[in-house]
Amino acid sequence: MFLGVPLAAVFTEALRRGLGTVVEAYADPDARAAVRLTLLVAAIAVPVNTVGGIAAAWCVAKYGFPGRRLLIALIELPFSVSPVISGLVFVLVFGAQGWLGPWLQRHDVQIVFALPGLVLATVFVTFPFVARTLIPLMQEQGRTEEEAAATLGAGGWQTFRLVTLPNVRWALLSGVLLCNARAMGEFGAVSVVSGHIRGETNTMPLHVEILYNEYQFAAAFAVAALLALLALVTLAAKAVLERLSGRRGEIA
Amino acid sequence: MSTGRSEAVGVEVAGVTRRYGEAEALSGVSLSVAPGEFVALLGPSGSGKTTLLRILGGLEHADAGTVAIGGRDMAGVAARHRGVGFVFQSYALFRHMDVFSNVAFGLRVRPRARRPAAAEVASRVRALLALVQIPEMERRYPDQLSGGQRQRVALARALAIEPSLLLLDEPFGALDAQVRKELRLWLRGLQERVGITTILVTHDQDEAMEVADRVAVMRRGRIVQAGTPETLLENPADAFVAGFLGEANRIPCAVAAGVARFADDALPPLPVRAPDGAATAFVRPHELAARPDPGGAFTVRAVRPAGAGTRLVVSGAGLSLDAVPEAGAAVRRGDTVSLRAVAARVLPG
Repeated sequence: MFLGVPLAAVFTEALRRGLGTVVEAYADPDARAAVRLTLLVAAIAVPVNTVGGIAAAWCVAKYGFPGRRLLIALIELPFSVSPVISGLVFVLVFGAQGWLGPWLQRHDVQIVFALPGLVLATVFVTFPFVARTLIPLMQEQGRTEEEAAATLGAGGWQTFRLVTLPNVRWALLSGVLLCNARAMGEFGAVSVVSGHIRGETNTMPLHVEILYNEYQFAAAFAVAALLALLALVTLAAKAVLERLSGRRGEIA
Repeated sequence: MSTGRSEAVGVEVAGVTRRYGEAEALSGVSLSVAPGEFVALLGPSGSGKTTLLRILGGLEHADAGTVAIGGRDMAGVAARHRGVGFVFQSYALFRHMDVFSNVAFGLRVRPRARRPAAAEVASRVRALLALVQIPEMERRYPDQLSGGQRQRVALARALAIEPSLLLLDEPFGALDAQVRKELRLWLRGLQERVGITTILVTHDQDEAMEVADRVAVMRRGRIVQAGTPETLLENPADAFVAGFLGEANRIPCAVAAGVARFADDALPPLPVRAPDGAATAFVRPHELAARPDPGGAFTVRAVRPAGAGTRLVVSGAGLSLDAVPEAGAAVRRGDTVSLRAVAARVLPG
C-alpha cells in the first residue's frame, strides 16, 4: 500500500490530461536537457563508484590492516550524512567563497554549479552502494579461493579476474543497479551544488521540482513518471538477478 | 599416470619461527622430508601445524629460519612460483566453475609460452579425473558434489600443475568417518603410485599413523618428536606424545627409587625406569586388567563387547579408566574390582 499507491498516483497524474501533455512535456528542450544531464552524470558516477566500490570492498573484506575499521566507517559516511550537508560541503570546498574557490577561479575551472560538481556530489552520495553490497559477501567467501589460485600459479590480476570477480558478479550487478538508481534519483546534494540553471545544470529530479513549483503539474508528473519507470526497471532487473544468483547458490 | 611429472623433491625446514603479535605460532621448527616421503604433522589445534604447512606453500612468511624445497631456498619465492600443490581444509574449490574448469585452472593460467593447447588441457584433466575416480563429474559444480567428491576434485586440481610437493591441510576433516577411512587409504595408494613427496596436517592420530611414513608430533609451535608410527608408539619422547597417541589411560603417580606408586595405592606399585618425582603412567586398555575383588578400589560402570574380548569402563580413586577383564574373570556392571597394570610407560610430568 505505502509503495503502490504513490507510484500509481504518479502515473495516473501524469496521464490525467492525456498522452498529449506527456509527449509535450518530454519534447520540452529543458526536460530533454535534464534527461541528458541525468544520464550523463549517472554514466560517469556509476562506473567510478563501481571501480572504487570494488577496490574498497576488496581491501576491507580480504585484508586486515590498521585503519580498516576507519575505512569501513568512511565507506558508510555518505549514508549517515544528509545529502544536503554533503552538497553544502562541496560548495564550501569548491565554491567561489570556498577553500579552493579562488585557486579554481584563477585556473578557470568551474566545479560548483556545473557538471563536475554534479558528478562529484553524485559520486559521493552513491559511493556506499557497490561497496556495501560486496563487503558482506566477500567476507563470507574469505580468501581461500584466492590462495588456492595463487598456489596453482595464478598472478594477482588473473586471480581477481578469474576468481574474485566472478564470485561476486551477481552482487556486483545488483550493487551497480542500486547505485545507478540512486545516481539518477539523487536530489539533496545535487540540488545544493546544481544552481538550478535550466537546460544546463538541471537534472531530472530538480526539473520535476521546478515544474511542480511552477504549477505545471502534468509536466512535473510526466517527468516524475519517467524517473519512476527507471526505478521500476532497476528493481525488476535486480529481482531477476537475485533469482539467477539464487540458482547458482550465491547470496546477492 | 599419463601426464609427465617432475622428480620428487626433498624438503628442509630449519629453525622456522613465526609470530602473530606477541604469540609465537612456530618456535624454531626444523624438519627434513626425504624425496617421495609421506610425512604427517600431528598435533592439537593451535600447535602450529597449519602455519608450518602454509609457510611451506608460500601463503605465510616465516619471521626467521629457512625453507628449502628440492634444495632451493624458498625465501622470497611467491606461492605461485613454488609449484607446490596445496589442498585446503575447506577444499577452496572455485565455486563458479565446474569440475573440469577447476582442475584445468592451473594449466590455463600459465604464461602463454608454457600453456598447453586446449586439447592437451582437456586430455590431462580427464586423465586426472580418472585418477581420482570421478570421470563422470566434469560438468558438475562444487555445490552439486558430496564432500568426498569435492576432496577428490581438490586433489586433482592440485595435481594438475604437476607439483613436486603436495601439501594437505586436514584433508579429511569435513568428511564422515566411513568416507574418511576409505579416502585416506585411497590417498596413500595414490601417493605411492604417483611418488610425490607429501606433507599432511591432521589432528587425528589414527589418520597420521595410518597414512604416513613418518609422523611429526607438534605442540605449542614445536615439533616434539618425529619418527615412524612404531617408534612413536613404542618410545614416546614425553608425556605429551604418549598421551596424544593411542588411547592410553593416563594415571598420575609418583616415582621413587625405581618404583611408581599410585595415589591411595589404588593400583599395585610398578617397577619403572624413570627419574624420581611426579609422573604419569600411560596404560593401554588391554594392559589394564580388572578382577572382581570386594576390597577393590574401582567400580565397573559399563561393559561392552569389543572385537574378540570385552571392554570395561571403571571408575574409582578419582579416575575413569578403560580396562579389560583379567583372563577367565567374569565381570558385570556394578561389580567392585581391583586393577593391575600389566605394562605401562611412565614418563615424568
